[in-house]
Amino acid sequence: MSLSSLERGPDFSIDIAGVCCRVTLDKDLPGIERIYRGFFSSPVSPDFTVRVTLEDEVPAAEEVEISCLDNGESLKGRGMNITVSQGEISGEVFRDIHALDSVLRAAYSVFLPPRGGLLMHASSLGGEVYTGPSGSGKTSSVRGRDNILSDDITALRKVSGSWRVCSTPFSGEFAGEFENRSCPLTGFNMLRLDGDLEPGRVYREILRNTLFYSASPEGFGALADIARELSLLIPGRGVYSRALAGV
Amino acid sequence: MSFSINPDMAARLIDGCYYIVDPGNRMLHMLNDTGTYIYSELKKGSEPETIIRGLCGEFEVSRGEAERDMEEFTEDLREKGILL
Repeated sequence: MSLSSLERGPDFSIDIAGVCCRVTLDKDLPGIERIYRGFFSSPVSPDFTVRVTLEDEVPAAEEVEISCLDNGESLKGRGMNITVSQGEISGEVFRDIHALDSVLRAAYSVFLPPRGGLLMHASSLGGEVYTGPSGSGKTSSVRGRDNILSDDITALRKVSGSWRVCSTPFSGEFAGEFENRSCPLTGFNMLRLDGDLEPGRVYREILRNTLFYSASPEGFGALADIARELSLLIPGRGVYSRALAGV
Repeated sequence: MSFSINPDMAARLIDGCYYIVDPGNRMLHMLNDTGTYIYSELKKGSEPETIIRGLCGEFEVSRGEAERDMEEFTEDLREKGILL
């Protein structure tokens, strides 16, 4: 264990796409340094907080059940039993780094859209985003290339009027390998589709491949606005990952 | 007949067609040309009679066809919760 992680203790802050999250845990959890080291940030003025206790028994269902509450929304499943309210997530999480990772993915999926961003099931090579359903070849599309920005989950955010592709720590086989970086968004490559895509099709594919752990109409409105702007501004094309591998 | 748009649905116009997201079941509905015309008019608060006459002019269909289109479409949107 490095000195920096000893000094950090069980609490830490991360920055993804310029949005800062303060995570407060009730005890140490192995794996935090390994997964999030490229994204640690200053704990000053976080955009939102995640305050959870680590438990041995938490709902483990693969599908996360979202329910509306008076003060926000409840998310149960995938090792979490949490409440999402204005600027804060609180509750219980299974004592495992992957369960905490699911909470942070859910958190960013909810708190990015009001800040002009979103999380996509996508990998990226520089500003080119490769998106598609599970098993469509997102990782295969970028594996072995020297300008991989992100894998599996990618953030997009409008910064000073321009759309940027941002790396995230939420990756599969490249876990812990990425730094907090971004570059201008130049194109959408929709896996398992063909040819140049009309904005309407790009819009559908963006929404289909966006993570959003909420049923809030306001949240969906923000997401729809972002997807609409992206579909009209950024070119989209269909691509088969096998063909890409030969490029 | 009176219709009101469900304010919880996120409807966005892209390339001349409306796409409507239902936050409740995470479904995305895409409207065709006729559907987009009727939905746009309903959003503006137009009366059914005005919309039916508009359909006859815009899409060159008979009054009977326009009435049927209007009835089927609004019934479909009611079932989907897009209209209240």
